[in-house]
Amino acid sequence: MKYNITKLLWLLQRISAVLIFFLLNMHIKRVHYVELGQPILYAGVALRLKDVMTLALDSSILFLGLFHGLNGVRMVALDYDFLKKHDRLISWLLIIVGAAFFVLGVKGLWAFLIDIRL
Amino acid sequence: MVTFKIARFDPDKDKEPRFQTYEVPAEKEMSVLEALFYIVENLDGSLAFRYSCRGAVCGSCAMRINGQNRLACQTLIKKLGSDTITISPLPHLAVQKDLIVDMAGFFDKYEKIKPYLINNDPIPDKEFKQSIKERAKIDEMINCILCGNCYSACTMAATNSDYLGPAALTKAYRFYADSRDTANEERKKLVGGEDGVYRCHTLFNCAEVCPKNIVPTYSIQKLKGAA
Repeated sequence: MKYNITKLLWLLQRISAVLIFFLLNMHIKRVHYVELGQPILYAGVALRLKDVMTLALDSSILFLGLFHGLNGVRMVALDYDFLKKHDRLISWLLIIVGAAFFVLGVKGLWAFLIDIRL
Repeated sequence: MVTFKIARFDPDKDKEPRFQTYEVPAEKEMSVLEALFYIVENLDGSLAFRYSCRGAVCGSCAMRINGQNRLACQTLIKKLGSDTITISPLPHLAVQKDLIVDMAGFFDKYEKIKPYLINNDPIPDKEFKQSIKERAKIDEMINCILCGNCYSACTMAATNSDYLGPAALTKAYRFYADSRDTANEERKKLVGGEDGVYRCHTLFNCAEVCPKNIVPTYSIQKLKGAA
């Protein structure tokens, strides 16, 4: 069954790239162009970071970005004989790194709405 | 006169490879292979290289000529547009002697993809028929002469010794797309793993050096979709 996981990861790499492109466009538009010319104030940023839609969008970009980047690192690692033999270890390491960065990112993003304490 | 700088290496005698220079009186329409014959016959009988058909059919004389993998028999000196021609063995493969490389790994991978028609249907009275349209799908891939130029140019095959490589995968698609072949599921499993089609990063190095103008990346992409 391993070849199916390989294909799934290959496919998800492409899907995540397309999604990142569109979501990043939305993010840039929401953050930089909605109130173009207005002064950037702490209170304004705090208000934006209380909007669930913005938080969901940014969290999605964070998740997809981490998946796309770390899956890319895994693919590059498997190109090399000396790393390929540690496939399982590398995969788990990248999952842990990805999960840790996602939790840290979400904690920061949602801080104005929910007080997440680790 | 054309200067030939040729890589020399005999693992039994030399510690490191070196380049040796020869002056060859180039004639009109002379190929690099003919220049190598001139060197062996007139200047240095110890130079080792592979050749057979002399007509770009067998794929034996693949080597790196002026920085690109080519067939020596197919490469005319005048087309290179240089008075100095540098020849070295195919990169990323172990050198056996001078311009001869070890092709065992290449052919091992070729064997792995079962490079023959598999058809378990009852044998018809006359033949397994194939329409012109069906044949056209595999026209390009059938032209592969297994010279190893693409395999040697592929950076993935260079760093990952288990990667099947562009030539084997092109042949795998040749049989996958053959309307007479009935082993598609088996073939998909053979090429669908971590060392199969998904290892290709679509760099097109293979297509750039193919003496038969085959684009292995096309076959690999088709197999990615199917596997």
